[in-house]
Amino acid sequence: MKYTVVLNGCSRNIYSQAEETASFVAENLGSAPPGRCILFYSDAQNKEELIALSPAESLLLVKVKQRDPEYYLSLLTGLLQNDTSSLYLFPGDLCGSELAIRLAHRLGGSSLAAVEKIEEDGEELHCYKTVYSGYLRAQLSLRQKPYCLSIARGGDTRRCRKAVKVLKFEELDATGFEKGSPLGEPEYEEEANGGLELEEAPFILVAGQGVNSREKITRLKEIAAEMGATFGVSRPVAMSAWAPLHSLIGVSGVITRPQLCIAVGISGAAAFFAGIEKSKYIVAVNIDELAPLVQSADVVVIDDYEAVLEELCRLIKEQPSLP
Amino acid sequence: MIAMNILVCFKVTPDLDQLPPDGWEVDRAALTVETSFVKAMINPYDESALELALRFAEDAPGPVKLTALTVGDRSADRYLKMLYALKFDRAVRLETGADLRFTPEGIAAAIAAFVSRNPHQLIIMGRQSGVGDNAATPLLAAEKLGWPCIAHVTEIRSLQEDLLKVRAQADDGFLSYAARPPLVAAVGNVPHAYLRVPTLKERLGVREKKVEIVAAALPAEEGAGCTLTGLDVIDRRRAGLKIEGATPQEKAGALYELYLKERLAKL
Ligand SMILES: Cc1cc2nc3c(=O)[nH]c(=O)nc-3n(C[C@H](O)[C@H](O)[C@H](O)COP(=O)(O)OP(=O)(O)OC[C@H]3O[C@@H](n4cnc5c(N)ncnc54)[C@H](O)[C@@H]3O)c2cc1C
Ligand SMILES: Nc1ncnc2c1ncn2[C@@H]1O[C@H](COP(=O)(O)O)[C@@H](O)[C@H]1O
Repeated sequence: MKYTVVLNGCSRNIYSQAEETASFVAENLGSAPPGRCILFYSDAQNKEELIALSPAESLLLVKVKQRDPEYYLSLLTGLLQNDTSSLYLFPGDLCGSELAIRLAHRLGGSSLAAVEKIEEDGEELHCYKTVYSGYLRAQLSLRQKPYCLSIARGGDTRRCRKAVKVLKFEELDATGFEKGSPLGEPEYEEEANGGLELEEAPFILVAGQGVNSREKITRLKEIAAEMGATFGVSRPVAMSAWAPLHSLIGVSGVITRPQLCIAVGISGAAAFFAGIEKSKYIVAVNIDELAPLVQSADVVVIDDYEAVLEELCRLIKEQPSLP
Repeated sequence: MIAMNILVCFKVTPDLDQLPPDGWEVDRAALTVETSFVKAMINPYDESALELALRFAEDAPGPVKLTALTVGDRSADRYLKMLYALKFDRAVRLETGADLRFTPEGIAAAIAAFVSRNPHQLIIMGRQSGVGDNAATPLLAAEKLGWPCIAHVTEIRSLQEDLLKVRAQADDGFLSYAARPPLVAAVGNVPHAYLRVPTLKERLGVREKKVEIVAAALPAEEGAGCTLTGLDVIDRRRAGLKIEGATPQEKAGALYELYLKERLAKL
């Protein structure tokens, strides 16, 4: 199956985009002929570094003047007019998942977001993804080519992948592309401390609605810092604006993969659990023995989180050799 | 001044978090799960979409007409009535008994058809809805209408007549647009955007109002869509080892000594 990967090199999450798509390609398209990558970038990026990230042997670097999905989409629609790929792969981040669905419509194909695995079967492409708010896994079959898919985030990117050497390299300067976006150019505000830190953190402390006030969330954030953990929250806490949006963990936020995750006052809804599922070790602290997270954690403390965490923090701080 | 017509699309979904872990049973033949006994709710993103629309109408310099729309069966009517009580001007249901779980194409087409008969300048939707988890309907509605779309929206304000300020989450920050309608906005995570609750008086005031029901022939776009061919429960169980102890401090001590000390040292 001829495939093309599309990456947004203007975004600081480009490393996880590249890793995620590379491991998807390795696991699902190992026997397909070498694919192609289209990578958007701007003056601000280091070109050599971007080239090294390509998940495919053939790379088209497209220099852009704007970094929003609507603009990319106009460019892609023009670029791919005569392209014969039957599969377009996008990372599962906000930009990629938007592009996949909209591009499919423009190319007359079919699309699916957050796909974990694919199998080609004659005239159909079977795709696996989670549905029912993350409680079930579905097999959904697409028939209309080209298939435009965004990849489920949080795939196993730690498995060492074969370095791909770029053999064919082209460049396109699209900075003069005027038809661009019907919306005009948006202003971009970089987030001081995006979710990127949380994504990479080896040790995280996550607080949920059981921690039920701004003050208590603030205290737990301090405890996290004292223990050497990066702090995250569940959706209700972020929705109450007790913590910034970028610290939201789950399908609608950051997908983490720490060695150790301590989750307190969290029931463990599937949409949340997707964000900590890749943790090597999960500790849950909950007053309710029947909370779903109690079954999905490695070890649990059934008690009020406050006293447990204060004591735990004290013990960890006492240990001289710790972070 | 001509009123700005805003359409807000929402979906009523079962609150799947209420289903107990052992309550998930897949009907292998029909590829369905019985969820009718759990509480229904407005999809959380759509709740935010509805609330943002109400706030927009309150703050807009000119007149705004709000229409709430859902594609589905009768079970949505009590939510539509509630939206009348919250001052939506129209509450419309595109009626269908079809299986809407994995049909974003069809729903988007029905919404686009409604908009072509009932002109609107701004469509506000949620970014993703439960059950299907498709994250596709607003994007496809925009494509079908040939309108621009902003996804992961966190804020919509009126800058001046016919110019909107729309702020949206991006993967490493935020994008702010000064956009002219028509436009589709797909609402993402928005702090403090739970849907307000109508007072009893507001509810009583709209008792006589009828939900507009329009037949929605969902176009059979089989080819472009996807077919559900399998459905399985995901088993996420781990050891769930319980720490014993008489006090929280004792439990914390045991947790630390037995399970965390070594792990922390290796980080
Ligand atoms: C489309 C969609 C996407 C979503 N995406 C996300 C997402 O990305 N991330 C996310 O988090 N959610 C997401 N959700 C929401 C999710 O379904 C749950 O509603 C949410 O995760 C619940 O958060 P919680 O566990 O903090 O709160 P609750 O479910 O209210 O749980 C609170 C827990 O705290 C415990 N508790 C109370 N007091 C104490 C105490 N003193 N000490 C210890 N424990 C205590 C309670 O026993 C309970 O288990 C999404 C939902 C939908 C429909
Ligand atoms: N049946 C429906 N009726 C009205 N709007 C819908 C319906 N299904 C989905 N939507 C809208 O599309 C958004 C995304 O849904 P989905 O593509 O199913 O994840 C939702 O948040 C709603 O705003």
